[in-house]
Amino acid sequence: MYVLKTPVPSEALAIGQAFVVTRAEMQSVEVTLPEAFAQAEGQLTQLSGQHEVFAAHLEILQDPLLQESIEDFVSNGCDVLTAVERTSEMLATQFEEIDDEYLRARADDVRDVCRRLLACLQCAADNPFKHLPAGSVVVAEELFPSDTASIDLSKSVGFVTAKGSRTSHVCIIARQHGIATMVGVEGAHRFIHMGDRLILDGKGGQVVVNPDEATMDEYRKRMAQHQQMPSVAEQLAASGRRVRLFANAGCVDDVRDAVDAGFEGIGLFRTEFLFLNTKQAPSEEEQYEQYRMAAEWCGDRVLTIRTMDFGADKPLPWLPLSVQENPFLGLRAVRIALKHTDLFKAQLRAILRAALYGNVRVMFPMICQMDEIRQCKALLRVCKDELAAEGTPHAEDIRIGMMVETPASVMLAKEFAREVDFFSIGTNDLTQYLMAADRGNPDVAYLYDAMNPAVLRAIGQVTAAAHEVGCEVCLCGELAADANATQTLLQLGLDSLSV
Amino acid sequence: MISKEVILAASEGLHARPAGELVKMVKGLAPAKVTLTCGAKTVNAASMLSVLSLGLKSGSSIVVGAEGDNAQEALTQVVQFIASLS
Repeated sequence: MYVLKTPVPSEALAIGQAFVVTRAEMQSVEVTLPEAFAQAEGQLTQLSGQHEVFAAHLEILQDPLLQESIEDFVSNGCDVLTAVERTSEMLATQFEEIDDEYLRARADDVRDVCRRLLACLQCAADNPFKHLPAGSVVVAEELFPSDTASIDLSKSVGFVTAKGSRTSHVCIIARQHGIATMVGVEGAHRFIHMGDRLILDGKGGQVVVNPDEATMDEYRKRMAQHQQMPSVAEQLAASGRRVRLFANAGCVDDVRDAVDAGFEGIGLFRTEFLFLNTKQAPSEEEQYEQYRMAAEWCGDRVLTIRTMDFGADKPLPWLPLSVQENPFLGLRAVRIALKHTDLFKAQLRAILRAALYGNVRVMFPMICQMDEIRQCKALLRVCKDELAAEGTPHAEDIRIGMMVETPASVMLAKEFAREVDFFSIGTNDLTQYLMAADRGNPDVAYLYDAMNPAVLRAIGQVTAAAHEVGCEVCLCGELAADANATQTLLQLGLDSLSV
Repeated sequence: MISKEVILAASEGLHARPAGELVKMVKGLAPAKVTLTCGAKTVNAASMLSVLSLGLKSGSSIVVGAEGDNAQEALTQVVQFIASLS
């Protein structure tokens, strides 16, 4: 029995058998380079329908530089496999040296494409995960989007990787499928062997390899408790308190699914889907259509529409924003909205018009100053007046709320509560800002904990201040969905959770 | 080989989308061969990876080179395209 540590904690808890994937296993070359290119091109063409990342990979594969570099290495005496590997490293390093986060991330794309090419060359187009036994923990130095497409997720109970961060594509997919995932486990692929028995203990930040019986028993008990933990909904119902359970939604389909699933409303309807990945700003009509559909699906249930909440970290083709050195402390969310009031007004008008069709509330994100919420309310007033003057049907009475996700809004909760009808505490950003710890940075992941007393106290203070003046408090963010936190949140007196 | 210098004004530098458009344009200008030089590095403008690897930033000075049939027109078009990015 031995233990491998990771600095990146998680909720992972699983017991399984190791399935170690090493990529360096060299085999004799049976396929020529042009054949491998053709094969990889075929695979990527097929995959590009599934996800846009593969379309980008196809472009890289077809880039003349890739083939030229490989051929250069070959003509300098390398065998083909080494040539592909060297090319991969050479190109990836070039990208990693660029002082631009977006371009640095392209290094991984180059590596993934070269890896696919290597697999084709080695005839290992044969899926390395083909014989994955049920109950496996997949162990690798790193897992890539192309891997998750070939892993039978129903057979894997866990992923362990030496590299990667919690926000990587693979982790997101794993979480969606309820697969325990631990990243940053140094040396995992070297120190764990095929068939080893593994315990994944995300909370303890450790992987136990070939545990002794006593340890195994202890974790079996923990797993049993974990599985017995009643869901958030069950705990709320059992509490006897009237705490409503809302859902978060990122598009109209999510709203419909949530209503079908019996949620009491939508505590957070994100509107970014309308603004990102488009060539131009969404028109008022376009937005109105989407909001109206969402409102209609909800009927009497609450629909909380959050106004634009994107930042300068995602470049938008239709809105040139200067590069922000600290995107999370820079121009984002309501700060963009108040700077580009035409854009903001189109959204507010669309919300006011759609509000006629259901039980709609509007919510402003990233509020720090009293002046910001007042400006938002004033603009809302202007929109109402304009709509009225034009004779456009719209809702006159709409409840107004704000996200409490900055330390400033926590400190001034009492004052803000007088300005709005409801608060929604966003624990993801609030934790990041209170703890001064980047959500995506594995080195400070130990600080990013929504159950930290500082965060919990903030939630308690905000709730108490709001209730003094009859302002409702909802909590959205990952903490709301964590069944281990439900009892704590109940004690803090929240009116609703949005999961 | 003819060449001309142009300053990149695009505030985001040269990211995937404009780089993609540039590469597509250069491919359409064949048989002219177009190169981009920034600092000591010269790359084939018909390769997306090469163009991105220059890591061009706002304010970068780029020397566009062209040779072969159609070189003059290729040079004019590419320089115009880069200058038009904002």
